Order: sequence, then structure tokens, then C-alpha cells
Amino acid sequence: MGAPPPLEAEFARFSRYIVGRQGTRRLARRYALAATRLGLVGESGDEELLKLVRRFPMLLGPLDAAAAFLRPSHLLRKRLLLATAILEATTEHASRFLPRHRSLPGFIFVGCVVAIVTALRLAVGVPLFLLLEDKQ
Amino acid sequence: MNDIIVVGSGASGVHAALPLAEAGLRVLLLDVGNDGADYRQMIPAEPFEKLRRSDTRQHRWLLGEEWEGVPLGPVRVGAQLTPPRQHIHRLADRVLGPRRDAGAFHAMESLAFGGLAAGWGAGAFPFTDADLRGWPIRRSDLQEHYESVARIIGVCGSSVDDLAPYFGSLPGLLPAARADSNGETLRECYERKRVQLRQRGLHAGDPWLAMATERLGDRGPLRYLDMEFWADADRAVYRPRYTTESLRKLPNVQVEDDALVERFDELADGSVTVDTRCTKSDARRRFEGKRLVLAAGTLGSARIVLRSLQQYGVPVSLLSNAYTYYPSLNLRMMGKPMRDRRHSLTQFMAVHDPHGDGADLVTAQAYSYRSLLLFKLLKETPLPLPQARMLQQTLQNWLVILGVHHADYPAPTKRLWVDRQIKDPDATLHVRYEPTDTELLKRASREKEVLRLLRKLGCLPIGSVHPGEGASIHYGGTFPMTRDERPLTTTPEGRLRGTQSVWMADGSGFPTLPAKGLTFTLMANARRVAMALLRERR
Repeated sequence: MGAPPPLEAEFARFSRYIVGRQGTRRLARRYALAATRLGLVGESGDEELLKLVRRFPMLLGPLDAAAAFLRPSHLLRKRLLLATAILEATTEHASRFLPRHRSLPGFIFVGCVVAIVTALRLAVGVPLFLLLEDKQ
Repeated sequence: MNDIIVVGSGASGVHAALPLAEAGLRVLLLDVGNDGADYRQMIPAEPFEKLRRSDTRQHRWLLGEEWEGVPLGPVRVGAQLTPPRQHIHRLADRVLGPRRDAGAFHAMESLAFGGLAAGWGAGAFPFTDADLRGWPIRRSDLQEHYESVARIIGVCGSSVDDLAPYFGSLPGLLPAARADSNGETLRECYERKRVQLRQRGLHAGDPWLAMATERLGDRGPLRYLDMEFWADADRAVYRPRYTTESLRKLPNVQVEDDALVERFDELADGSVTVDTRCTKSDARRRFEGKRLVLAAGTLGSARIVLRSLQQYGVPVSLLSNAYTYYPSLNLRMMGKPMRDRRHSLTQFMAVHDPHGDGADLVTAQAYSYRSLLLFKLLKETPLPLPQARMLQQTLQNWLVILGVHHADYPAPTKRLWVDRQIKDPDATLHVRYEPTDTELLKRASREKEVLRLLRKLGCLPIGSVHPGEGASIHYGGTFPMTRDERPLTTTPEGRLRGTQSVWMADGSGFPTLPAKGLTFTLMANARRVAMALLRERR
């Protein structure tokens, strides 16, 4: 079996990032099809940032945080949301999206983790994102 | 020749056609009738959460065959419609003559079987005399029609809680649907603070819903599948399609599908011809009838009337309830599990009546966010996606979407008209809808007060979504019913002035729009118009 086409490889990376598990090839093909149908593929100034993420996957989290904060309509964010929708609408990953009951201390713990991780990602992502936007 | 031609199979059309057909008249129902049958067959009749864990084809109806369930842009009118409900407006956007909405007004029209009510949230709120101020009719004129319609559609709710005075009496009310944990905690808190809240004008209770909580013919009882946004498996929530099915069985009724009505002509003998276009083949057909009942929806009927009477460039009034969503956290649900068996529609309703006279209300309806996809919430959350997912997965149980409705009244800045360009075969419908500054200020101050009172119930707003004017999908007021003889108005009985044989049975005749869902009143008023037409014929 040859290497997966770029969009399918991108989905594999995105699914590891979003739910911590790699999505199947079937879902990756669904992602590639949907991205094409929804017009999320093609020439766009935002592609530069996606290329950077392809080269340095560890930047995905910081750049996602920065895009969510600074420019939610960025192509990276749209593609991530599409991958999220595709993962959510599957029996394999549904439990990661269905409501979860947590006690109040449990919720406070989750809230603290979310705040710390987001702050760290923003600290790295925002300067980088602004730099890349500036370069364009 | 047909005795009556009814245009439209929505909430108004079918409830105008039914009494006419039952009286033995030959009724022709014209409609485009775009259907969502493909999705209906795809969705198993199981609880939402069970399907999410077991249906391997769920992506097809959750995200849509054309990915129409993945909106990546800003929240717009119709954002609440899931892929199986999007057929309601899809064809209309493509087929109807051009429409130009100026400013921030975005209307939704429908050519679907059952019209816009095919996606109705089922709120069944009768208008009281206070709501009908400025109308030439009173509640007593509508009462028997509310009762007749309620027997057909099934309305559930409470006749003894604090909302009951705002709805008036309705015999035969079905038992209220059981609220989910969110609705229950809001209700409990309201009961504890009832005296204080009532003093400040907030009254709350069970919403009245067109939902068969008990068996009603071949419908219901409600199975609490939590699938109301996606399918009608238990047929508990009323859809006009069910009445069309009954109409089709009557020998004196003919239902003509794929007939888009473009114009009518009145003949010298008082009869009417109606010109239609087939949306698939573009073929033209002409139908004849002794009377015409227009129920194509406020915008659709306006297009037909203004073209037919050649009133190009003549503005008429347009009304639309203002609507805002407030995603909120129900703090009293923190740490509590959510009940599994539930329905998806309004769980709790509040009315703000600052003067205690029932006029000038603002209403708020609370929905839980349980049977919709999480990614739509994540899109609006300014956090990295894995963190947003972790947070929203927990918050989902506590999340309440508050829908706040305002009344609407005519103003010179709310107008529509048709304008025919020389080379344009269709008349372009123009909408200019701009609320006055006074209205905008009043809306903002009323919303602030309502939210302040709801915070006392533990409901903490975390944002607001203004999908734009027109987003309530409640329209009316284009040919208002009046007692004075004015052109482009209707008589209190519903006949279009300037015509002998044309009757308006949809929201076109509503002189104002109270802050309550209109659909139940559209049905009752359509029946009232039909009965007036019957009396006139006799």
C-alpha cells in the first residue's frame, strides 16, 4: 500500500490531535471528499500555515489555539472542524463527544487542565501565527 | 370546475382546506411539495444516544449527503435545521423568483411539503385579547378554531401553572410532556422564587406543545427518543403533512404536487384562474376555481398578490419577530446527571409581562443542547479543539439555549415590494426591514431585564447569537386585516380587498406579531377564514 494522499495524511494527524486516536482510512477518505466538496481545498493564503503544520506537526496545537483566538475563520480551523464533525459522526468516536457527567471537583479539575494547556499553546501559537500572517 | 383552490400545504393551507373539504366542496390543493423522504427512510426509530453508539450510517443523516450539516461560516437564518430538515428551504432558495433583502434581513421561504412548519418547534401558544390589540378580531372569534385545530394536532401543556393566563382556556389539553433535568431544575427554582419573580413580571411554566403525549389516532404517544430535530419516528410532534395525508384520502380533494403558483386572474363571473409552473420541467399549467385561498406563506403570498394585481413598486408592510439565542449555563445542573429519556423541544418557558396586563410580552424558551452535534458548539468556542471538546462535553449537560422572542409592529421602515425589470421575466421581491432605533433600544433593555431575572433561576448566559432580522422565520402583516376599506388589506374575515374571490389564510393578514410562536394561530385563523368563506358561499 502506497503513502496516503496529503488530505488523508492530514486527517490522520488531525484525528490524533482531536481525539487522541488515529482515524481509519475510511474516515480519512470521507474527510478528503468532504473537504473538496465544501471548497476547503485549493489556493489560499492560509495554505502556508497548513504546510507548516505538515512539516512540524507539533505546531498544530499552538497554531489551532492561536487561530481559534485570533481568526476563527482560518482555513486550518475550518479543516480541523470538518475533521471533528467527521469523527463525531461515527460509532467509534461518538463517546468522545456525547455528554459526560462529571462531579463538581471533576469539572474544576478539567477546567484547570483546559486553562493551563490553552495558555501554554497560546503563548507559543500567537506570536508564531502573527509572524506568519505578517509574512503574507 | 373546482369550488376552492388552496395554495400551499403548510400550517395555514391544510387547516383552511380541511373544513372546506369536510363541508363537501371540491378542493384543489396546489403545492410544490418538496419532500425529505430520503432522509426519513435512513433514520432508525431509536433514541438519539443509542443511535450515536450503534448506527454505522449516522454520518449520512448527521452531516448530510451533501455535507449540508457542516456549516463552517457564521450562524445564519435556518442554522437550527438539521440535514433531514433542510429540504424545507433548499428548493425555495433555488426556484422562487429573485429576492433582494436589504440590510441585515435574511428571510427563509419554503416550497416543502408542510411548508416552514415541517420544521416547527411545536410551540402552540394561543393569542389572548391582549395579544390581539390592534386586530379587528378578538380571542372569542378564534376560540372555537383553536379548539378544533387542537383536537386534530394535539396540544399538550398545563392549564393551571403561571403561564396558563397567557394562553387562555383550551379544553382537551393533553398532559404536559415531561421536562428533562434542565427544565425540571429551572422549574423547581422558579417555584421557590415565584413570588419575587412574579412581582418583577416573570411568569414561567410548561410550554404548550403540539405534541401527542397520549395516543392520538395514528400518532404518538411521545416515546421520548430525543429525535425531534432529526425525524418524526413516533409522529408525536404534529406536522401539516399528516393533515395532507388525510386530505388525499377524501374523494372531493385533489392534491397537485409540483405546482408553483405564479399568479392569479379574476374573471368577470367572479371565478379565478391560477397559473402554475412545474419546478422540474418548467411546464406551465392553468387551473380554474370559484374561489382562491392563498396560504403560500407571507412572502410567497405577497409575491403572488403583487404580481397578479400588477402592483409593481408598491410597498406593503412586513413584520417579523426579532429573535436572539443565548447559550447559557444552568448552574443548578452542576454535578448532576441528565435524565436519559427526554424530548428535544422546549423544556421550560417564561413570559416577561412588566405591566401585568398581558400586552407587550417578551417570551423566552429554554432548550437543552443534547441531541445536536458538539462540533457546532466547538466552532463557537475560542479554545484549541481538544480542550474545547473536553470542556463542552461536560458543559453540554448544563447547557441551556434560551430563545428570546419579541413582538413586532408595523413601521415605515419595514416594507416589501416587487419590482419588474424590463428584461427580467420574474418580479423581484425586495425586502427592506429596518427596525427603528427606539425598537432596538427597547429590545436591548427588555432582553437585559429578562436575562437578569433568568439569572435568578441559575441560568447564566455565556454569549449571544443574533442571526439577523428575519431569523425567527415568523413573518406576517403584508395585507393586514382591517375594518377600514384600504387597498392591499384584507377584511376581518380574510377576503383580499379589491378582489371578489381571493382570500388570505396565512400570516399575511396579521396586523401585528405578538412575541409568541405564530403557528398555532396561523392554523386557527386559517380555519376561521375557511369558515367565513363557507358562510359567504351559502
